[in-house]
Amino acid sequence: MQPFIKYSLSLSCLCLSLTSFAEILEQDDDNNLEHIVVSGTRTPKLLSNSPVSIQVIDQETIEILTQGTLTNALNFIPGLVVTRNVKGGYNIQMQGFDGDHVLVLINSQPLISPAGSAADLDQINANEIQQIEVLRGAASVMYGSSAMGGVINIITKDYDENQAKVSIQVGHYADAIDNAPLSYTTRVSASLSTDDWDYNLSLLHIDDAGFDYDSSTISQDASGMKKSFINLSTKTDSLNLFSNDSSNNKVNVEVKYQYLKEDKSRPTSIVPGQNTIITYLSEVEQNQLDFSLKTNNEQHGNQQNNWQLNTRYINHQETSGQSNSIRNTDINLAEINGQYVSSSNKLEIVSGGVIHYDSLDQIKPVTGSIEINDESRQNVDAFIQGNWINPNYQILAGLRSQHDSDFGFHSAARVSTMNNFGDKENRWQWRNGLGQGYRVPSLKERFYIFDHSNLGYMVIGSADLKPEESNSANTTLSYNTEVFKSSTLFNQAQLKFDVNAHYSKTKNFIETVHDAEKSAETQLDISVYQNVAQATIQGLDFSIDLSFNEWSGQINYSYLDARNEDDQRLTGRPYHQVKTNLTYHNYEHELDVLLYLVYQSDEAYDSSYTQVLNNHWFNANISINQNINDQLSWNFAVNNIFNEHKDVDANSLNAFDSRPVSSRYVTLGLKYQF
Amino acid sequence: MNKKLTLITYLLVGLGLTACGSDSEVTSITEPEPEVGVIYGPFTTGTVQERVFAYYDIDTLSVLELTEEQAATNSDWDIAFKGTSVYLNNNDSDDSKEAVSLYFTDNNSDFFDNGSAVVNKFINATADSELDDFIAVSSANISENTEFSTDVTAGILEGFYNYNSTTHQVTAAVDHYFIAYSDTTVTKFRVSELTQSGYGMSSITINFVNQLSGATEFDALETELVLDATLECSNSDNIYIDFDVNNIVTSAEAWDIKIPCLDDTAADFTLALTEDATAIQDFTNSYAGVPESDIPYYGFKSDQYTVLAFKENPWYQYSLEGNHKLWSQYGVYLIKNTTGVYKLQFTSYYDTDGNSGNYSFRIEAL
Repeated sequence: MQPFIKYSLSLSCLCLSLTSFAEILEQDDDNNLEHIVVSGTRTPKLLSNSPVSIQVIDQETIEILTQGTLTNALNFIPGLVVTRNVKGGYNIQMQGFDGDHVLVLINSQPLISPAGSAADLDQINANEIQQIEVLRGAASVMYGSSAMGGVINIITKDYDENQAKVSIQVGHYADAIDNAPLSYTTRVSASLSTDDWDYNLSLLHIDDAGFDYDSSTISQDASGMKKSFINLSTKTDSLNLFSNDSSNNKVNVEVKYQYLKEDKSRPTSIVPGQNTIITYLSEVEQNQLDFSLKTNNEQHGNQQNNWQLNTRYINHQETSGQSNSIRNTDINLAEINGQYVSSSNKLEIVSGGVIHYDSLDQIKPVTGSIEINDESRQNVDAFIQGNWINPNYQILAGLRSQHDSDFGFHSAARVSTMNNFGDKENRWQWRNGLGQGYRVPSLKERFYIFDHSNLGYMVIGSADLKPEESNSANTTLSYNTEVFKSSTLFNQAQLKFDVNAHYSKTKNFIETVHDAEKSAETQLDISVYQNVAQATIQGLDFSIDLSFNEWSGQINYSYLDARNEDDQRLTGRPYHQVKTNLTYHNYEHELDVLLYLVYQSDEAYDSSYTQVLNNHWFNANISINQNINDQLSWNFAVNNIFNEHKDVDANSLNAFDSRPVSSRYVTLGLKYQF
Repeated sequence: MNKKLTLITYLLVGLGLTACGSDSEVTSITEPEPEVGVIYGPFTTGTVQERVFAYYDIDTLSVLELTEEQAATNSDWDIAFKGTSVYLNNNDSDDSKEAVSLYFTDNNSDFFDNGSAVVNKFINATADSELDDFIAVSSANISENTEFSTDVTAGILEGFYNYNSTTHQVTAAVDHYFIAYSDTTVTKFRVSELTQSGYGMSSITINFVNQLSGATEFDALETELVLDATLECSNSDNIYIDFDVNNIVTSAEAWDIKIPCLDDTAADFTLALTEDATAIQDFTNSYAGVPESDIPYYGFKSDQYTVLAFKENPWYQYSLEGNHKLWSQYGVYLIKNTTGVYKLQFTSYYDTDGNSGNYSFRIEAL
């Protein structure tokens, strides 16, 4: 199935508000079935009917983009900046907010954050994804802390048929390490559906060889890595918890379990004056268990009611660090959330609550030094949101209140509107949002003692930090029409145009700040977490999308200006980003080709750099998938075609180079489906 | 005795005879070559959380077990290490002993290009690759003009007057400013006038400007404090000045600087900071203000401070790859103590596990 051209109807994990869905289907072209999204309102909505602007990447596109983790898929999304972190994982920026301020969810529930508040995209299995929904702008009303810059909500697949798949992909980096030229990605999955219950087992193993720009140096540029995911799930939609036999009382029950094991190893340096090689090591084991109960729709006249209860538990154990400074980390997350939806033709009320628990324990076993002493926090949230629905406009208003065990009460509000203009052939939609965001300081920011004193520096948490707050405004104008209807040169095509402007004002931003007094006292480079400043972030996103029957093209441009109260730009944010893609689908040969290009320039950088080697870069990627028959398919991809990457001497020259640590990566894969 | 044991006995006797026969053929015995370029260490200076001194005696090539109190009066140690600082014994407590001193031979100067470290040279250098540089230094490198440096203790408020060695007249160094940080107040001051009286001062005029709390620049208005040292010294052993109140105060009050009295009639040519205060010299009058938060970056020093000879002739470069490590230049130093001159080359600041504060070096007598 071709991405971005033929809309897919994807029933999400949540139950659909049937009345509104029926209305929209009636208005829609029979051949154009739309995505259903849940992230804007926490209830299923057709994409065009969501009062909040949502970007969607569907399963078909994800499968073309990546066979492994989420990183490649998110790099494709317009306006998102994917950055590689010090651990060799990946985080994102959205609308000028870094990964600590963008909430990554799986099925609307949070993940743990090994590198601070930011989830590692490279620890999310892309093979279980049904679609990715991107909500831009403050969303703390519906999702709580950290959703200041937006939300990326990953909706996982439902399995309801008997099938089995096996696939293997072999990859090679242009800068491959001599003794490990090839990387492998292997997937096996099987699902079984009975009358009442569906079962699924999925295995993914990634053996990534890593790469190195200069084999004559000790340090390598990307870790060799072995990563395994095991996913088990079972669900039923016909459990009768109540004695009443009515189908309205049937409950969906779903249990999902994921096991992740990840090992990384990367030589980084040699001990000066000694022969010992220092290696960055990381061993991660993570267990995640989800359990959810959801009702089918309970119909009472025009009134529909449904409820759901979700739980998640994640335990993350990590041994990581330089080989002479290893630390053991134990992170736990537990959450229970529930919501009740009551809807009629014109009004939908969503209300719910969350009980959330985090804990973090970190110790250096060799020295016995405690970096975080088994600290924990809890919060209890309550939220309510109303959606007033009219054929020509919608109003969405919500309020959330949170009580944090350490920071007391906190609240956030958001109002969104959507206006429909024009007619079916020339549809205009104008969405506006005014919202508040907040983020309570993480346990790491409050209690951390990052003791790298043997290397001359430390990072220390501050227990008295205050929560970050933001106020933001978003406005998006969309236009949809059919073009070339009477052209003899071109086939009829769908043209879509979007322009989005956003403005955010934040205060109490938490950053690490050099502590001159402590540094002088200890003769170390000491940094502490502090509420430092206000920041103003504003930007413009422009997107145009032209879709023919077989061809489709999209150009996106994002401009961003993020500054602190001293009018200095926030580092790590590019002024300009262009993402464009071209897709081709050949129905006869079941061939998909996807070419996408990324250009970024004028990234703000730290003043400590002594020179700039590069501050604009271009990245081209191509993926080809083809179904040979109903069972067998192949795929070929080249990421970073022109092998654009950070200069090998950038670190030693203390020079800024905005290009990513990357290497041209060529993959060839086969998939067989039973 | 069984057959096996008998056979072994014959073999041993045979071997012994063969060995005696060989000895009889040796005509000369060669002295073993002294091992060149031996690396001593690593000598620990404790952990970063708790740094300790390692006192090294270069005559015995050993670390002496001394407390800091003992070391202050001990003249056996020559070089001491603590964290990244290397100290020379200046034998302050023993006038009969000459202070330990150093001379940097400036080999490996190609590790710098126009004052900037050439990163690859530092990173690629190893103890083995730089052994020849160590061997190449000999007593021929010492000449009459070789200027050895010692660790010097000085007062931060020195330099407020000019001394004419011909006329023996002392005048105020009116353009030599000092910036003091005391009781959270930053003050810029100079001595604008003084009257010499024998070996002391009968009067002194101090001009100063304070920097208001939270301000980043000094006040525009300068305060002038004229002191009659003859009068003040007749009542006290010291003249105490508090810049916050713009006046002379008693020793019991929050004074910032003091002028010791020479006798009942004059003050000594000395200014001293109060115990918890720090200061810098601004003899070029460069600073219009010093933000209080930036004080740690300006190199403020307490009243008496020591200039380390090794700090003036650093042996390492820091964080060349942005990873906070120390890399040796493998430069060779000449170290002179009361028994002779030695050559010294630092090879590492780390032990084999990569823990910092562990010194390894080559050292040989010339």
